[in-house]
Amino acid sequence: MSENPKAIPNKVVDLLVSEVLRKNNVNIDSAKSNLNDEQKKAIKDLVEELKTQVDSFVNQSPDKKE
Amino acid sequence: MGRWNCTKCNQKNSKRKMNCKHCYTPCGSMEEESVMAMETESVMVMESVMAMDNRQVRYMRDNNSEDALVDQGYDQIFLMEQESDELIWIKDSCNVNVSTTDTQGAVSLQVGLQLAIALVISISLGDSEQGRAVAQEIFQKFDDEQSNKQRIYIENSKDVDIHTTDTDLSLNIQALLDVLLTLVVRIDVL
Repeated sequence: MSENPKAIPNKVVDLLVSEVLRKNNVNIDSAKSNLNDEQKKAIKDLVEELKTQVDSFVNQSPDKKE
Repeated sequence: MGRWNCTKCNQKNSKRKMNCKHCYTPCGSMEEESVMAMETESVMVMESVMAMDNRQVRYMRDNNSEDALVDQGYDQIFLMEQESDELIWIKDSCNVNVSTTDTQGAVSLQVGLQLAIALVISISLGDSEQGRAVAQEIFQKFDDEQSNKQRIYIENSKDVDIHTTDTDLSLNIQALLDVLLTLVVRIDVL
């Protein structure tokens, strides 16, 4: 069960996010312009770290007890 | 003090705790009267307080309904109930190997992901009502209740190998990560 690499199909998440953004009249271009390079880099680092943590949690060899 | 009027015949009596000297009705009318008077007074006070409350409530309601964009409180979006319960019982056995998932780490990872999503939204959309509405809607999809109970009994056994995984948690975490990645791709960071 947990070996399944994709919990939720990509398209579902994609649709969910775009639907929420559309419904709230979010202008994605102005959102992009709100970010400077420093913030972009910070977010990128954050996301990458979380991604590694999630990957290692999902594929972890569980702690052994005896 | 001590003088009282009979409730029945209105005869004036001088001593307390005695029957009326005219109709022999027991004393107590005076105390009862004063108690009753006090009660009605407090009821009246309470009624006026309630009247004020109603006015205030109406005032607040009228004021709030005008331009409310987000009706729910912001904090409610993090409402997520989880219960993970694990019990492993090993008795009279040898060479038993048990591996379980570290649930605590998973929960904190999940909170970290939620915070990251909220952060990305608030940075890119600003701390506006719009940003709050978007964050709230995204988290509402994850507003769920989970309960996980595992019981493992091993008795009189040898060479047992057991693996358990908290599937609910890993699913949730993967889904949150997917949402975060999609958001970040949308705002051209990745």
